[in-house]
Amino acid sequence: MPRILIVDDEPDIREAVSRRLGREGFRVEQAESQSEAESKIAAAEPPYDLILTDMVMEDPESGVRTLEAALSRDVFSEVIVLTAYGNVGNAVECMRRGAFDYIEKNTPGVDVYELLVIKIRQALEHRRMSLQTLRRYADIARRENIQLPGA
Amino acid sequence: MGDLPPPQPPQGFDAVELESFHRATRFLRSILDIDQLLHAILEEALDAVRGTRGFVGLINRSTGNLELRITAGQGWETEHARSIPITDEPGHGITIMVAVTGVPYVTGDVRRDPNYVMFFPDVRSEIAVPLVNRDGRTFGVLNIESEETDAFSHRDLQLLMALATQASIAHSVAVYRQREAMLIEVGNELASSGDMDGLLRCVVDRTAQLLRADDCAIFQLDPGGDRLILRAAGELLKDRIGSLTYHVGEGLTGWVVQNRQSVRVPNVREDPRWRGLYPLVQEEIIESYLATPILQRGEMWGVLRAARRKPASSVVSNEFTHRDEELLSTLARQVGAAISQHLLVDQQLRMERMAAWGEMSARSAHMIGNKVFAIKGQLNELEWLASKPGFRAQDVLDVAQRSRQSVFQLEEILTEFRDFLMATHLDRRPLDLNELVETTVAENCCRSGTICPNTTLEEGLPLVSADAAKLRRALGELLENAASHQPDGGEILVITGPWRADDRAAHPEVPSRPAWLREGGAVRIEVIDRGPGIPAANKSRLFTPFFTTRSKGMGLGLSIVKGIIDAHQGAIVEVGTEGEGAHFVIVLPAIAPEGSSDHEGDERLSNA
Repeated sequence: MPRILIVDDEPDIREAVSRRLGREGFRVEQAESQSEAESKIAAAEPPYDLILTDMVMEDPESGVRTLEAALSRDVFSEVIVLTAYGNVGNAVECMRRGAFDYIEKNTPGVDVYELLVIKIRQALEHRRMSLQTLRRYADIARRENIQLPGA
Repeated sequence: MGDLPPPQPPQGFDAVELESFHRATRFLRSILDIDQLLHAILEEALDAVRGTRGFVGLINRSTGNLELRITAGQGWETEHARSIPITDEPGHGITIMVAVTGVPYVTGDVRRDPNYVMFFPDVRSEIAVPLVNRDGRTFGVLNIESEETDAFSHRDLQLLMALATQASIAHSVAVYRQREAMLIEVGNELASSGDMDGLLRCVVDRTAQLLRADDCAIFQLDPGGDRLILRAAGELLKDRIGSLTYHVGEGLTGWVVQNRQSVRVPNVREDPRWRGLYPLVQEEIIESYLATPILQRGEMWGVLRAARRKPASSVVSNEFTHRDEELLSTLARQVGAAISQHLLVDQQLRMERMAAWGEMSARSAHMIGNKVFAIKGQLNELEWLASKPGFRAQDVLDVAQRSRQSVFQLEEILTEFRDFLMATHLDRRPLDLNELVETTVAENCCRSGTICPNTTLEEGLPLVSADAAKLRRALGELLENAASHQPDGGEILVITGPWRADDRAAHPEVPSRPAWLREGGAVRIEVIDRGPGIPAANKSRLFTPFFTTRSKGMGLGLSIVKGIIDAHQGAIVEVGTEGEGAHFVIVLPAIAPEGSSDHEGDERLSNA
């Protein structure tokens, strides 16, 4: 069962997202700040499959910092950034740094929760593929007795 | 005024007499109170020429009468006429003659003098000398009598004239100092007066008072620079404030703007520029006119003008003097500075608030967006719950309850937003702070879970000019704040009282304003709690928007409070110690009580 960490300083949002994702069969944990997220990411064993983080919390860069923490723990972790009004610039920056995608919380006329579930499934699929590819390479390497960089 | 002329000793006197003259001069120059001064002069004069009775009469230019202000010696009764019309027709007595001609007069036997009019039956000799001010205008008469025939020699006359000269100089000094003191007071008043309309009204009142003008008005140049609009005026024109206009160059008022010069006209009807469009006093009785430009940072801002009625007496002049013109220019400079200051403060406040506006728009969009996102999630869940066969009603109700909470929070944000924007829009009325505190405390007591504040309210507080709803909001916020920092119960104390010298000494952090130094000039409200208090590091940011240690709302609470207090020209400071509880001190300017603007000595000033 995929493990997801939801990071947001708004308790209502953590609650609503957790319930929705719980319904989809994910194991969801919560963090209410960048610092709590960083320590949870560092302590998680195995690493979270996906981190869903708010962009602006105690700091306008909170989303970016959380992304960095997630990728340095596990480079194949998937990160989706949630943005409220006016933070698209930062979200694009997150994409450049390796986030899977970003979602605007207030997209008019869109059921963002449905969108969120779709994106999460895509992200988890992406992670599964990445890990599968990695494993395949590892198998080949073992068979051919090749030293993989970083392995 | 610092370089007074050296005393001119009378000629042909011995050393003892000269010494006594100099002593008298020094003494007279040390007296600042005008009545006291005139009294001392009279006593000195009686003594010097060995008279039995005497008085000082001063010319009242409004009534055209000579008023016997100071008397000395035997026989003065209340029924003696103290106010005598001044006329140049003969037969009204020696004193009136001297007041009109300005020439001293001595008589050795009044019974044989056709100019004498009997006042006291026992008088035989009389000597009267004019009191002349620095402009050469007679402002009064010093009169000494004796029961002896031929009591006064030529030397006595010389002595009395020398004394009168010294008295006039000392009188001018005293008048000047009094005017100066009043100008400073007016300056302070202008610096601390609240809105622009209040400021201009205050200028009009004070100018009329200082200049003994029958009416006063301020016209402001409109932004286009071609019209003058009435902004403040006394009785006759006050209903036409904002509607009455002059073109630049039109009438005397328009001339002042066109030429950037003061104008002083002794008789308006003889001046070709005068149009008589909107006279300050009825046209047929207006006489002397004075107007001066108000410059604000070197730019023409408007005109300050004053007018005097025709005096009752045709002999006494009621014209504005060049000193009056100087005084009006000084006032106009103070007004210009006050307007600049006012505009500057206004601009600063606007800029601060605009900066806060920008940040607030971004923040509130963010916060509202977040809340809406949460509510969308709750709706999403409701749909899902409802679509399940055999769903539990309780599950639906739980989610509905949560979304209601979210909507409430949304409304809290919107309320803060509105209160922040509206903090400076006041509907001011005279208000009793104690009443306000009592109702606000009662409102807060009713809410469950809050601590009921104790109050110590000092009776007989001066009223404040305030927006009751806004002040209730501010005080309510402080009370709620105090309660929220003492979740397990505690204590809240609300104190009111005048803002006194010992309060100023106890709370030097509170900014000082000149108008608050006066007894009853300001009032204070203190809100004290026994919570954790404010860490020193947070004090400077305490009132800035979005600074909050609470999760509720946007963190605008205390900045709204400060916005409201600032808009009332008051001050709010937190003076508590961390660990001992928070202690807020609010100081609000009081409404000046009726009649406090009456300056003693105005009438005397007018004689200068």
